[in-house]
Amino acid sequence: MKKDSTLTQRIAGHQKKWYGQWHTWAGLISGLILSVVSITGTILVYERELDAWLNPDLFTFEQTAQTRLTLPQALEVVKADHPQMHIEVIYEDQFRNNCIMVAFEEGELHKQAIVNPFTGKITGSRVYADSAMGIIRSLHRTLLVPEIGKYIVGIASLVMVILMITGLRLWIPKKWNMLKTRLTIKSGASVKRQVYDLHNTLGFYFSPVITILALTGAAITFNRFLIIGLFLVSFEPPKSIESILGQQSTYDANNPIPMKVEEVMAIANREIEGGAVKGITLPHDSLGTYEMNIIAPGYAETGDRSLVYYDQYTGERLMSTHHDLPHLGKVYLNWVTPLHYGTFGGQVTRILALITTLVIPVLFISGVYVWYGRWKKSKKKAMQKKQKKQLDHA
Amino acid sequence: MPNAIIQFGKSLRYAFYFLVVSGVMGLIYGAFGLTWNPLFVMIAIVGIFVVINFMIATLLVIPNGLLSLFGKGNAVLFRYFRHSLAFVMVFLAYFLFLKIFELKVFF
Repeated sequence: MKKDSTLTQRIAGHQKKWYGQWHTWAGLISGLILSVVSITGTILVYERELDAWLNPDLFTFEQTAQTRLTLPQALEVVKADHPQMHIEVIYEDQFRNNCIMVAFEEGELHKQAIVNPFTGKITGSRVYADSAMGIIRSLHRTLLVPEIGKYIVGIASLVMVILMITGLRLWIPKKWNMLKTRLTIKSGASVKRQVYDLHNTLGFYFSPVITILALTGAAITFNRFLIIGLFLVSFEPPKSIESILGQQSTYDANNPIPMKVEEVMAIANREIEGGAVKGITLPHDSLGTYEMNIIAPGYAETGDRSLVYYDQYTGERLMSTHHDLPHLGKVYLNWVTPLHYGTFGGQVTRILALITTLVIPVLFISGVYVWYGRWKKSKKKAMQKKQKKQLDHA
Repeated sequence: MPNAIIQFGKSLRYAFYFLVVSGVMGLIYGAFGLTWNPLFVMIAIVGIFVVINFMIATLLVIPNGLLSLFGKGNAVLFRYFRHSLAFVMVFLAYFLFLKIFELKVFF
């Protein structure tokens, strides 16, 4: 028995040493990137509200009618006012003063136009990536580094998960009667000790949310792998994103007139019980499809999202994520982004996500402070040892 | 009992701890939003990464196995594969559980 407990202690000591090294170096290398991503993430929790607040000329609407326009009605007004506009998507945005947004192509640029939901008139258009919030979003997602930036952020998110695993292992006290010291900051102690306690306690209390934000962030970056993985673990043959999204309408030269948006929308509104269309992607050419973004009540406050594709000439359903994909696909559609933004549970979880993103830079700074103190101490010790050795030799 | 089986048992235990901790983390975050579903969601997301990791481990262990025939294999890679295999078994059991009982918990 005694032998067993000694072995366990030895393994625990060995594990702690390795975990400590992983935690230190992973933290020092990726900490700065994670801090930038976290601070920009803090702003992005309220991205759309801030965007509306920063652009009052675009997002202030006088209520000139009793009811808001439906998406097809707004589309009709926009098309009549701007017949040359190549509209790709139209959707409702409840977080930007309930406006209607239109995404369109202008030359090589992908722009968005903001539509007054009462009149259908465009209040302005822009390239979102060039707006203040667009730049912050790019910084968060890619660090403004083209192509490889998103992978750097994705890998840093996975490193964050490693930091959490190793950090939790290091947090476990040697003896359970020391637990209280790991859960509180010792008042009246030296600054060094208080910073160490702050690192430990904040890391422990926020570990669930930090881990979830990091994992969902990595899932967003590596979404293709996630979707293929979801098929695999559904025990169904994997489908590529192209085969899911690459649906085509059947062009019939005898019946070349596409159905009206309101007709397809009426079909889509009946598709899923309690569901309503919140966004429409229009067919881009004669083989394109209508893609309806349908939100139905779900467990999360953001609802149960489904994408349904219709033949533009017949209104036939070609593919529905609700009916034709495994239920596990809903993990990606309904949960990954809401968990990452904290929107799944309303304001409480959004504020929690916001606070958590502020905690990450604090963990980085306090971690560097603890490491620097130890590094200086070990350097001093090594120097003393060297001097002693030289003296002994002399 | 052979040492390899004992070690594999330990790996299975670690994998089970990871599954439980993932679920608890989801449950805690979900509790703030008055919903328990993140419990299942988090195990599923961690499970996908475990499956991807297993694929990487498999790709690494095959050439390592061939090299070991000539006495040049790396023991660390075998240990990595053992952990990955245990993790994927535990998480696949969870996905199988969802499939068999047709749990619709992700709406």
